[in-house]
Amino acid sequence: MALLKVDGLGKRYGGLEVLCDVSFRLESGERVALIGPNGAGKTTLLNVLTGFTAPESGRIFLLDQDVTKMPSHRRVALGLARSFQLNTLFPRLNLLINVLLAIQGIQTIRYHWFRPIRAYTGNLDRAQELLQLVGLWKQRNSPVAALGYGQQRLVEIILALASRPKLLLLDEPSAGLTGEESDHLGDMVRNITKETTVLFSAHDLDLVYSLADRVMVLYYGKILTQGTPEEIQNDPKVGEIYVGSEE
Amino acid sequence: MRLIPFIVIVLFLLILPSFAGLALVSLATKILIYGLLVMSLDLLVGYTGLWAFGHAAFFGIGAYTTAILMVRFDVTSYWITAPASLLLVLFAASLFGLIALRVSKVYFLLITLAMGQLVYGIARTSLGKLGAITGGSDGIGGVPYPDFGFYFSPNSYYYFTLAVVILCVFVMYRIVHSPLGYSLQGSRESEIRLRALGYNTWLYRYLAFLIAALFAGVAGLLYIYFNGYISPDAIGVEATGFLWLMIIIGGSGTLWGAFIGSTVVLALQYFASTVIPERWPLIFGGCFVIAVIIFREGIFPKLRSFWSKVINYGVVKG
Repeated sequence: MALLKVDGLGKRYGGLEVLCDVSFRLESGERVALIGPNGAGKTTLLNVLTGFTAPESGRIFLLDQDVTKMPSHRRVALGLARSFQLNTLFPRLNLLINVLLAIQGIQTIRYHWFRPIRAYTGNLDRAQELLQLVGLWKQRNSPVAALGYGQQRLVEIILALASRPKLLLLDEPSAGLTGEESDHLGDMVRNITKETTVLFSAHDLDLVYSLADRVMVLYYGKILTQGTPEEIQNDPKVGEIYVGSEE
Repeated sequence: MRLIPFIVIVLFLLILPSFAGLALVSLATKILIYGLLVMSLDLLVGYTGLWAFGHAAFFGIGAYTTAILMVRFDVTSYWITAPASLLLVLFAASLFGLIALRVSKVYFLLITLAMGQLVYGIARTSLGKLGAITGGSDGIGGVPYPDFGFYFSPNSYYYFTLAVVILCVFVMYRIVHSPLGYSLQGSRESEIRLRALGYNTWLYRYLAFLIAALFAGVAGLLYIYFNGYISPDAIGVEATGFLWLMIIIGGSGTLWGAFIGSTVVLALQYFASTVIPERWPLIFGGCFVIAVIIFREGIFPKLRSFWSKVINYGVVKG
């Protein structure tokens, strides 16, 4: 059984075809990278998968369930989580609250209205675990806006991890990071349990080749090719679009 | 240490009637009622990030329902009129919320403003049967204190109001620090992120709208018994504008700021209008400008940081 099955997805903005007949499968436990030049449709694809953008054609199956028309918050309950290319956090709330909000996202306690949020000790322990993972436990009481960009980038990822998702979509997790920060992030993604399948988009090919079991190349809304990192590295078509787009 | 100012204020409020005259006790009652109303609006504006501009309408529906039931239909039992008023407030809010929450930001402001004016318009109609019930622009008066088996005096009604307001503040305080309350703040900070975490953000905003309306309805009930009289002027867009000013002066997203705002504005109005009634708007406008310049985030955040400095100083010294 495929964890995610995508069948003939299509999306256009006006006359521009952003996604065109995109089909692929993700198997449980895989680490899959999504690469392609700017404007290839990577972010749109992630938005369609998470329900932030409605596709015009095609279907999406998560764990054999058709989720094509399901609102995004219900997909999260099925085990889907995502991060954003641009930091999308709760800037004026403190770090601990940010993480607690992420943890309770799939719990019914998110509707509790009388007990203080900090009284749910199970979630507090989990928050401590996540914040220690990125070395930010000491800063838990500062507002997220006060953190540095690189630290916010890490928070972006632990928020997505908080619900222990079955499928994690990371939209350019290393965007804007220094080499060292990017390595740290790579280690973090590598250490994510195999219970979680990861699909991530990235421009940093070193990160892609070191992390991914499989690479999909998106080019003008179509899947140009896919294969293991070695296959993609040696594929002349891929070299062409990358050299072409970067010069 | 942090609770000291709070305890001092509550003690002060408890002994106030023993030395203050009727006028001041009545002013204090009004300040408490408006503080509660402003706090309910702050749940939307400051916590949830919903710019509601028709909020006084829910206050009005609460007050008017009780007044109409008591004066026009001779329903004297508090146990019928109060629940009926609050139910009607919730009913109106559940309808208005459905329509207004299809949009956000300034569009939400405009739609809630229109809805507020709709309620104002209905209350102000002086023609036909409706006019006979609402009293039109004259409003409706002659509402006695609630009958709990004993007679209220202005002093005992002040204590009653104080008790209800403290209870409401306690409940509101628990709400904003609960999982639900922080989720509302999350929807203010980033609706997209909250949705990506599995929250039905629409439902949260709707709940906030209903809760805020309910508290506004309670304030409306307290007001009609206190004032005995309600007119369309107390519930229209101008009234909501005043609530916004109180939030801005006191500090949004803080709960206590609501009470500071209502104290400053109503006390200023009271003293200015006893000295030079015709110049009151001028004095008020000037004070508003000064408050915004000096206390940019509102008075409460300034006081809070001042007090934490005092505490820290004490800790360092001690």
